[in-house]
Amino acid sequence: MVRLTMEFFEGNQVLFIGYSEKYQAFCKQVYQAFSNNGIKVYPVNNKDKGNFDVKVYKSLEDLPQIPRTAYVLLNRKSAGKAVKELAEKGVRRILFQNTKNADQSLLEECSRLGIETIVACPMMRFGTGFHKIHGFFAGVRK
Amino acid sequence: MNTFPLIRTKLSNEHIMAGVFAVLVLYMLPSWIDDPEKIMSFAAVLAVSLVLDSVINHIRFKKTVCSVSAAVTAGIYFNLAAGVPLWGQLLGITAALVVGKHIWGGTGKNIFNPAMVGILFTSVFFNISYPSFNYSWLLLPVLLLSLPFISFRPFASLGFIAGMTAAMIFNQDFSLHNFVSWGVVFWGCLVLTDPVTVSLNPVLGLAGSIAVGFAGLQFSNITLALAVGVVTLNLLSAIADRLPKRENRRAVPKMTIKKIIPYQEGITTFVDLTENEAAVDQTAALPDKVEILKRIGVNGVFGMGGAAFPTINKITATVDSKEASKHLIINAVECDPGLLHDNWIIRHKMDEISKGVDILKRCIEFESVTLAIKAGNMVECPQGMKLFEVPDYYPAGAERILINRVLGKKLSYKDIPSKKGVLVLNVQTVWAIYEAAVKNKKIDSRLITVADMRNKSSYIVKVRLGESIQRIADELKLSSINLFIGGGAMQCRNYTGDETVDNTINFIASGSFPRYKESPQCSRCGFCRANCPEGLMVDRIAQIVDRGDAAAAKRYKPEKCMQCGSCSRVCLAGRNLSARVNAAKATVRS
Ligand code: SF4
Ligand code: SF4
Repeated sequence: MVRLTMEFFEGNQVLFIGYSEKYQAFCKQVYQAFSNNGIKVYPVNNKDKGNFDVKVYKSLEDLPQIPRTAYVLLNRKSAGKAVKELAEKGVRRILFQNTKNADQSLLEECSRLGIETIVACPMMRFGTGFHKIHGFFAGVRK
Repeated sequence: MNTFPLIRTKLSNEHIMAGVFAVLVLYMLPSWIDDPEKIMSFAAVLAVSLVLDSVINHIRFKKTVCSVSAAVTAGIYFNLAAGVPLWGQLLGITAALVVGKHIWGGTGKNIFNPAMVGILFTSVFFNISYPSFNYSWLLLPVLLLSLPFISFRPFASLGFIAGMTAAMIFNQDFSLHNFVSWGVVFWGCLVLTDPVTVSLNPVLGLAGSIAVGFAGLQFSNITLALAVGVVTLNLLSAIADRLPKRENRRAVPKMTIKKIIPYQEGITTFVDLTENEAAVDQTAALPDKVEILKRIGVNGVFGMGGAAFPTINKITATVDSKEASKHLIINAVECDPGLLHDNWIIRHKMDEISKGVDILKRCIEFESVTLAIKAGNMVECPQGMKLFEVPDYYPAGAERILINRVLGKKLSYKDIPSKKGVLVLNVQTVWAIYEAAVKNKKIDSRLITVADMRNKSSYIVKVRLGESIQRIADELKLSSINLFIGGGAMQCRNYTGDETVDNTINFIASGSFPRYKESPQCSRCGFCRANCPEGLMVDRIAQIVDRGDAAAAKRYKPEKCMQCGSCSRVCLAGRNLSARVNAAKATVRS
């Protein structure tokens, strides 16, 4: 697996595409892990009207600025649509959660669009406890 | 966006269960020394329980959930069924987890203690030997290590120990040897204290467990008899806990929370970010009542304790109140663990506070004027005011709790104190009244506390309303990109990047995100209820909100919630419960 470094998150900020209420516990964990490591997170969800502990933007248009890196937590179909929009908005790096939401064809499409990709759970790099051990053996962290 | 306390308990259900598991393993040590093969048997039982629990949890929650509760079940089960052949133990632990736990919905939802279900299942095929433990001096320290778990269900635990001890005395069997090997403390402290399956109800807990402990010893198959007794108590607990109890009536909990960064005179820095103070029209003579009220209204004095309501409304409601005796309470208790600026005010602005009180006395004839401060925060009390020391607990400064303490007057959550003749004003509001009425100054600035939690430094900052939060963070060179804002450390929200200081903001903090892991597994520890100053059935409200049916929580009166955040702070499942109660409250109000 490719090593996930801080440099991947240009300007120490990241878009979080697919911050949902249904998986809020996990989304919040990831949000906290990023932000406790000095990365400013901009969560986006255009469908969910949920009750969140962090500000979740309805669309990319609502953001004060669009980071160059995105973390995508969507199913394969939605991820495919999101990638095009992200490329248009200037996103140059995408971190996908796993190969279920980013198969080979999607990774190739990203590459055609000039987007660098990594498939890894951010908790392996920025989480604590067991996540750290997992990340170490997966090669995501040093 | 939801608010949440910035500080929360470091304990979690998983920590507690890991502690229980460690003690359970220690109970096995003497038998492992005698027969090392038992280590392998236990390893097999443990492995099966962990794998089974993880697989079922993964199917249910579609994510990995900690299975330490299954390890505890395995530990209790193995200690009691140590003499059963391994294949029987494996079947027993499978029955315990499937029938005793997962068919009910998993941890926190099961009615019966899973290990007891496993024991009942195993008893159908095998005779489970008793006493469960071979006496060894090695077990003596383990008994002591078991004692802290009493705190989860003290009545049930002590009741069981008393019941079993009484039966031993009654049968003339009482000895230290029997006390240890018969597992009195094991059952009392580790089985009867399971918060999920044993009621918090003191009468049921005590009476039920005395009966279980006493009766268990009268049967020949004692382990089976005790398991049947515990399961019966579990059933009665489930019935009692599901009765339509709407409130948890008890005295206001007194939770002591240390200040995140304590106030230190001369060290806590005061910073003024309000350059160009607005010019003031200094009036020499004190204005009359009509003019005072006009100035307080026109100059926009608002409740600086966090409520942010126009103070003029409170004052006029007190003026209009039909109550024969009227009281003024100046609230400088500052019980929130993040705030420091009220403490600064009572040390540096007492003259202004005193003059503010004189102004209010011109408008209302008060029978008493009290300055309420936190015990130990000794200040010199100006003439005409009574100093009242409030014990250091949270939320001692909440309006109705304070009125009750100072005046002994109980007000319902529906009562408006000012209409009942009690005017409670935050100490900074009284200072603002002085500024507005005497100096005729617009209230366009305020004091807030800024805490850099990483560097452990704090500031009392004077800022203009409308000032950018980011600018304050930049000026003070706060060390983290994570900013939190709100009424205090117990009611913060995540800063979104474009907010400014408004009437409701008392506190800015920079630091790490508090760890709310939002575990789906509530252990029914009852800490949330026990620490709710309004006596709300917090866990039930949260459960209903999580089901997506906030309106159904109406019968538990979520509108009483004062958003103190205490429940979120203590929740062992790491859930932001106050946000859930607030969601129910919003639904009820709408
Ligand atoms: S339910 Fe409301 S009043 Fe009760 S502890 Fe939680 S936040 Fe405080
Ligand atoms: S919701 Fe209440 S009962 Fe459940 S784990 Fe949290 S504090 Fe304990």
